[in-house]
Amino acid sequence: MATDTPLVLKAQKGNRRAFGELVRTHHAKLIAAARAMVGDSDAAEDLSQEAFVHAYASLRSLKHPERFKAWLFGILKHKALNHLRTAKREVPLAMVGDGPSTGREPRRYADGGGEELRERLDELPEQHREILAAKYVQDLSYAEIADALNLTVNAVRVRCHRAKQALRELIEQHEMAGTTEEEASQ
Amino acid sequence: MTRHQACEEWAERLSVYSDGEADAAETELVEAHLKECEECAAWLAAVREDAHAYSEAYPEQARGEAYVRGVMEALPVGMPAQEKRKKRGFTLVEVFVVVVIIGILSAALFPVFARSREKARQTSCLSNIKQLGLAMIMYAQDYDDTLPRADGWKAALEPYAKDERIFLCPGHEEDGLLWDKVTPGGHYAMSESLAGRRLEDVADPSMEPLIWDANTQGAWDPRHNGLANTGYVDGHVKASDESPAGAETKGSLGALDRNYGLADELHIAYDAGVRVETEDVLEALRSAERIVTQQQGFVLESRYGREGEHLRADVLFKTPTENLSPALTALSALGTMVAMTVQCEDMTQAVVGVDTTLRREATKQERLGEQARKEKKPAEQAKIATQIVESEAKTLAARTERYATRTETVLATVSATFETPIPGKPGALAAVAASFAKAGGLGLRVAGVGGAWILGLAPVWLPIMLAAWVLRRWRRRAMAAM
Repeated sequence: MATDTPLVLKAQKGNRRAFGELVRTHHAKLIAAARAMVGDSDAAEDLSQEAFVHAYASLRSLKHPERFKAWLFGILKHKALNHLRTAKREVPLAMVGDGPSTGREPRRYADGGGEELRERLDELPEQHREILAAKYVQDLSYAEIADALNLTVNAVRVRCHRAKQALRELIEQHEMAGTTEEEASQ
Repeated sequence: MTRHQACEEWAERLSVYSDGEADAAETELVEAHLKECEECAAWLAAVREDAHAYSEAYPEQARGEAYVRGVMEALPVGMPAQEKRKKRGFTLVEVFVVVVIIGILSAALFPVFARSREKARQTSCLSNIKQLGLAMIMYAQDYDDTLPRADGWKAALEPYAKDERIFLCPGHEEDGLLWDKVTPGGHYAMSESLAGRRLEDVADPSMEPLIWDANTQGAWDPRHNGLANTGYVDGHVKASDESPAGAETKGSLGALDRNYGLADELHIAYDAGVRVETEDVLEALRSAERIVTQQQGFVLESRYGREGEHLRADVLFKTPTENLSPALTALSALGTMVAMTVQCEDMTQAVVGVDTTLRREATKQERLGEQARKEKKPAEQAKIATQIVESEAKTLAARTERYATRTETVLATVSATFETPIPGKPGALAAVAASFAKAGGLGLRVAGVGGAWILGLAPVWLPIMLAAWVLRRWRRRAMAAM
C-alpha cells in the first residue's frame, strides 16, 4: 500500500506513534490472515501481536518501505509456522478431558454461517492455507506474495492455482455434504 | 450442484485471470476462450465464488484501540539497531572449539614432533661418529698404525676433522659455547682400552666399540629416543638400544688442550679489582677474608668505614695466579657484582731477560774463576777479582729482580670493594625505563614503561576485556531476540 511509505519511514526513525498508526491500519487483516493459517482465533491474535513486535524490532532492516504489508505477512507466516510446529507437540488443555472433536474453542465470529466451511478450510494443508490467506485475506498481489514468501512470481501462480483447486474440491465436498444433510432432514 | 471442470490447458490461466493478475494479451486470450467454452466459464464463476467464500470465512478482525495499545506496550524501548543477519567473524563458542581442537592436536602431535626431531639429531650424530672413526683411522695411518692416546684424542684428531662441530653431539642436553661443550661435558667418548693400541692388535675390529655417545662420565648414554650411536674400529657405526660389549666401561672424553703448549712459558702479572654491592658490608668483608685464606692468598690491607651516604669496605690481597679465577667468582657471589677489572701485564720478556742475565753471569764467573786460578801475576789476579765482584753484584741484582717479577707473575693482586646499595635505588621497572631513556630518549622511555606495564598487567585486563566482549554479545543477542 503506497500510503504506508511515509508512516514506515517515520517509524524507522523511531516514531512510535507512526508505528501505532500502521498497527491500526493493518491489524484487522493480519489477524484474519493468522486465523486462516492457524485455525485458532486466540492464537491468531497473539501471533499478529508478535508479528507487529518483531516487525518493529527489525524495522530498520526493511529496505523497501512500500512493501511493508507483504513484509509483515512474511513475518506472520514464520510466526504461524513456528506456532503450528510447537502446537503439534502441545496438546491443548481443553482437549485432554473432552476429546479431540470438542477441542476447538467456542467461535466468536458473528457471521455464523461460515463456521462449518471454516472448519473444512482449516483442514487444508499449510502450503495452500498460507497462499490463500495471502491472496484473499491479506489482499496481496502475486508480486507481493512472491516477495513475502521468498518465491518467484511463477511459483506463486502455480501454487495459487493448486491451492484454488484444492479449495474447489473442498467446497464441492462441503456442498455435497450440505445437500445430503438437507436431503436426509427432508 | 454439478462439478465444474475447466479445460486442462486453460485451468491455470483462468486461475490467474480470476485473480486479476493476467496481462493484457493473456486477458484477451482468456476472454476469447470464455466466449466459446461454457465449461470454463462455469468453472471460472465457481472459482470466483470460492475465493469470495474464502475471504468471507475469514472476515477482517478489527480490534480497536485496546489491541493497538497492547501492541505498543509490547514494543521494545527505543529503536533497536539494524539487525545484521550475516555477522562476520566468529562466535565465542567457535573460538573456544578451535582453541580446544588446536590444543588436542598439539598435545597429540608434540611428542611425535619431538621424536622425529630427536631421530634427525641421531642421524646427524651418527654421521659425526662415522667421521670421527675415519679420523681415528687416518691418525693411526700417520702414526705407525697406533690409535691416539685416551687423554688427548680429540686434540689429536683435530687436524683430521674439517669441522670442529663433529665433536659435538646435537642430541646432547648441554647447550653453550662450542668449546665449553667439548672440554667439560660429555659428547663422545673413546674406548680407554683401545687408546694408544696398534690397529693390528685389535682382534675383531667390527666388534670392538671405539667411539660412542657418552654422558659426562664417559659412559655409554642412550640419549636419542633410547638409542645411542657406537662407532667400531673397522669404521662402521651402529645405533643400538643396548650397550655394546666394551662400551659399558668408562670411556675417555679426551678434553681438548687449546693452549698450544704456551701456558707454561708465559709469565703474566695479574692485577684485578672487583666491586660488589651488598646489604651487610662487614659480613661481606669477613667472608672475603675467608675466601682469601681458602685460595691460599694473604690480605695486604683491609679497610672498613663510612663513605659519604653509605658504608664501604675494601680488601687488598694477593693470591696465587691459578687461584685468581675461583677467588673472583667467590667474591662476586657475595652480593651484586657491579664492576670487575682484570689487568694483565706480560712479564715473560723480563723474566726471560733476568734468567739470561743470571745464566750469563754464572758462566762469566766460572770463566773468571778459572782464569784467576791459572793467573800468577797478583796485579792481574786483583783485576779478575774485581770483575768477579762486579759480576756477583750483577747476579745479586738480577736475583732480586727475578724475585720481584716472579712474585708478580705468581701472585695476583686483587682489590675488592664492598658497598651498601645507594639509598633510593631505582626499581626494576624504572631501571628498564632508564635504559630505554639512555638508548633513545623520552619516546622509548614511555614505550618501554607502557609496554612493561601492559604486558605485566595482562592477567588483569585480559579477563575484563573478554568479559566485556561476552556481555556485549549477550546484550546484542537479547535485543535481537526482542
